This record gives sequence, structure tokens and C-alpha cells, in this order.
Amino acid sequence: MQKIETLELKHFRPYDSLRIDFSPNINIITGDNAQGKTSLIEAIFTLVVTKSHKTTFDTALIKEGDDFAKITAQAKNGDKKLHLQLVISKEGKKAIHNHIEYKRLSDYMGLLNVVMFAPEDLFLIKGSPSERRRFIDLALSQINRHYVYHLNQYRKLLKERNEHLKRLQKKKSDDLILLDVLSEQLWHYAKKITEKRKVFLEELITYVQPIFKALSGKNDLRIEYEPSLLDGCDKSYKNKQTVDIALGTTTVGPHRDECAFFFAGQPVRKIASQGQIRTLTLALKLALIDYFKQEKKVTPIILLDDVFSELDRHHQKNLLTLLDKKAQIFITTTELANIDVTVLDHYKVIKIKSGTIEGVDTNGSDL
Amino acid sequence: MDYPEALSLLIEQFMRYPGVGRKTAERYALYTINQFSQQDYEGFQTALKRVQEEIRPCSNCGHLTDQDVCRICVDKTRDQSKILVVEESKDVVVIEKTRTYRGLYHVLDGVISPANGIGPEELRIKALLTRLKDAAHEEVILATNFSDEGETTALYIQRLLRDTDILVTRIAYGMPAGGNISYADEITLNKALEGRKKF
Repeated sequence: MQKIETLELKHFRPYDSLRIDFSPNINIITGDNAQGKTSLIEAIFTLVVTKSHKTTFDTALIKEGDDFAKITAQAKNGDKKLHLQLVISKEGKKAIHNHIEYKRLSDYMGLLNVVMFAPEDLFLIKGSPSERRRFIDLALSQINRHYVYHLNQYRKLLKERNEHLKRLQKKKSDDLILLDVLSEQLWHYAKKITEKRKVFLEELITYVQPIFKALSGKNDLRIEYEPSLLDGCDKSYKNKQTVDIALGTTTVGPHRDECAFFFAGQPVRKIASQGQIRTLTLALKLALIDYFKQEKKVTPIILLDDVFSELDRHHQKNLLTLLDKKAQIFITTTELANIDVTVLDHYKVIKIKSGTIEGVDTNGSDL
Repeated sequence: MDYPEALSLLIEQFMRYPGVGRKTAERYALYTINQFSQQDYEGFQTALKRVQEEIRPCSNCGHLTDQDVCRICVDKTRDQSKILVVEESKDVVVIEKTRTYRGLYHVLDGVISPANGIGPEELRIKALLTRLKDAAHEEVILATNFSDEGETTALYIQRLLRDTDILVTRIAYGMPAGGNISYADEITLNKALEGRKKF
């Protein structure tokens, strides 16, 4: 069981300075729009995975006018006490665990695990392939330390290769041997990433199917990883060499891969209704929780950002009953009335107003 | 924070060094002013002047020397069949200290990294090929670092020499001497396993 006991924020988004104790069960964060509810959840997410789910620019997390943002948490993973800290500044970020800085983020990631449900999830199915790759990468980064390392190495080498391709494109160089060497190095990591993603999806689908069936009554769901590299073949780079040079960028590899969902053999993106897509995203995220439990033997922290306003009562009830009651859950909502609290046992309500706590109430006695 | 001009200039000069930020540069500059005697100043000036005038890369291998051709290159007792390729002069000094290697060297002056604007033509790779054409060298030992760029550079040279009679080798990597397996990080351990030898 993973629990965050206290969270401290310094110069994070709208928060100047905040310290907050959480319930080990359910925490409901309420408040009007743009008061900082999502930022609180974003802080937890960022602390655990070292990047935000909202932005790729780390400096956007720093409160305007300040030099750094600091997220600190006292947490527990089973019996193990954890003290996590992430400091973000213009110079970069530092991940600190039990007062020791982790130079390799891959060693820090995975100390805690989160699964986030957010309004942006709809893009997971409907959006560009990069959304689906992000989902896979985020999950795998929390499970497999090697994966983070391989992904970082891959990105670095991709940058090298792309720079060289640009020089070839502009005829500033004609060195095809160097291109070969860079392709060979890139391939080394590409095949590892492709393989891990494939295996992950094969395992994940076995968790998705029963949940999807419970939610929709259908059991003909399939997920397929579609690598852009030919199966087990390092010739892919060679085949695309002319195109790559003409475009000045690498057109094949894990950074271009797709992962497709099918209902009854038909691609979901094309045939599914908004409701079905919602059900599928919920099933995917719920499956991820089961996956963590089975493969990593941990119950992750669950973050629900403003998902209840999107869901009808029926979906809401489904979600709340399917969620593990032993997990620590964070829910944001504008109105407490949006949530059917009757299905919840223990919960703490935290009311946020313009970056400060306005009130705290345990078990919603009166609010 | 405003220092007199001469002092600011000195601080800025120190800041050009790798690993020296403003604070360290200030300490160095203030130490100079407070501790240097007339003799120290002269000694420092002479040292700077002498390196500027006397030190240059060896016209053969690129290692820093005060001759046209360095002492290692002119030493005929050394094994002329082997050339060990390194990134920088400092690496030559480190390997020389081991006293186990008695062959020749070649200093590349960096590593290939297109992302940092460094292509093969910026390095002394052509000079290496010329050397290999001119004399009867049998083995090239690639001793660039085990960073991605070092690996790119090693692979690149290997490719260039693939169709020649020259034996291309890469220094081994993995466990450090006296290394304890239980303390090694997973990546090093993986590399060590990949590079295992018949025992």
C-alpha cells in the first residue's frame, strides 16, 4: 500500500507555501475553478514521475516571479517510510529521496506509483499516437528502471541522428558512414523499447478485457502494438534513409510507433461513440492499477482529476466501486454534490481557495 | 558586488575554466590579490607565457608536446605496430602512468556529436588514416570513453578501417578492479556480462 501522509509545496503553480496532511483513504479536493485543485494533484503526479501530466515545460510549474518550485512528501510504501523531494529550477530538476540526490532519475522513478484519471484521457484514444506512446512510457517508466534508461539513451541518440540528417539534407555533409553508425546505435535501443512496449501491451490487455467486459458487457476488445520498424530488422533505417535525409529527420522507430485498439476487429478511433471511448479509457486506467498490483506487488496512489463532472451517475458508481478501497485516492471536483459519497466509507474533504486551504473536514460530516 | 575593473577582468578569466563558476572565480581572484608576492606574479606570468609559446600538439599523434614530434612518437623502442586512440591528451598521460602499454597514441581532440555541432571532420580522424597509410601499423586500439559519443566515435573509426588489414580492438569495460558485484549498478553489470571472456 502506498500512501502520501503529508505534502509540502513551495512556489508550485498558484501555491506559495502549503503544507497538508492527507487521509490514507480518500481525499476529496473541492473548490471553484482555477483555485488550484488540479495543481495539487499535478504536484503529487510530478513528485512521483518527475514530470507533469499537463505540460512538458518543467519551468511552467514554478510560481510566477519565483526561481524554483519544491515538492516534498512524507510517504509510505508498505512499511517503508519515504521522504521524497523534487526541486525544479531553470537549471533543471533534482530528485531527492531520504535526503540523497538521485543523479539517475531512473533510480528515483518507481519509488512510488501513481495512476491518473484526467479529462485529457479522452485524447488517449482519440488523439495522436504520441498520446498512446506517452501512456505506455509513463506506465513502463514506473515499472522498469531499464526502460527509463533505454528511453533516455534513445532520445539522446535520436537527437544526434536527426542533427546529422539535417546536415546531410543541407549538403553540409555527405558522410553516410556516420549515418550508418548512428542508425546502428539507435537500433540497439529501439529494439529494446519496442520489445518492452509490445510485451507490456500483451500483458495489459489481459487486465483490460475483464474490466471492459464488466463495464460494457462486451469482450471483443483487442490492443495491438504497431511498430514502425520492421519486425526484428535493422534494415528499416536503411530502407528509409533517402526519405530521412530528404526530410532531415528520423521517420521510423519507437518515437513514431502506434498502438491501436479494436472492437470486434474494427479500429476504435473510427467506430466508437464518446461513451464507449470513455468506458475504454476507464478500463485502461483501472487495468493499469491491477497491473501494478500483479506485476509490481504494489497498490498505486490513484489520482482522479475532475473526472466526475464528465461521468454520468452510472459510470461514476462503476468507477467508485471498481476502485480499490485500500488504495489512497485523490479526487478533485468543483462541487461535492457531484460525487455520490454514499458509496465511500472514509474520506477527507479539503477545500481550496486561491492557492490556500480554506477548510478541512473528515468524513464529510457537514460541509 | 561591484569590483574594480581589473579585478572583474581577472574573475571573468577564471570563469572560463570548466567547473569554475562566479563564486569560485571570485575566491581565486581574491586569493591572487591577497596572497601573491611579486615573485608569484612573475612565476605565474612566465608559466602562462611559456605554455603559450612552447606547447603545441604533436604533428604526428596530436598529444601535447614542446617538440615538433612528441617524445612518444620519436621513441623507437616503443611498439610501432600499435596505435591507441583516445579523446584527449589527458588520457595519454593517464595510460602512460600504467606503464603497461608500450605502443603509440593518437589523440582525436574530442568525440563525434552532431547535436553539439561536431562531425568527424572536426576531429583528427583524417590524420589517423594518413598515419595508418604511411607506416606499418598492425593494430588500432579504440580507447574513447563509454559515453554514447565515445561509442559513436569508436564505431565510426571501426567502420572506416573495416576493409583494411588493420586489427581494430576496443578496450574492455565493465567491472572496476577490486569491484564488488553487489555494489555495481545494473547497467555496468550488464555491460560486464556482455563483455565476458573465456576464463
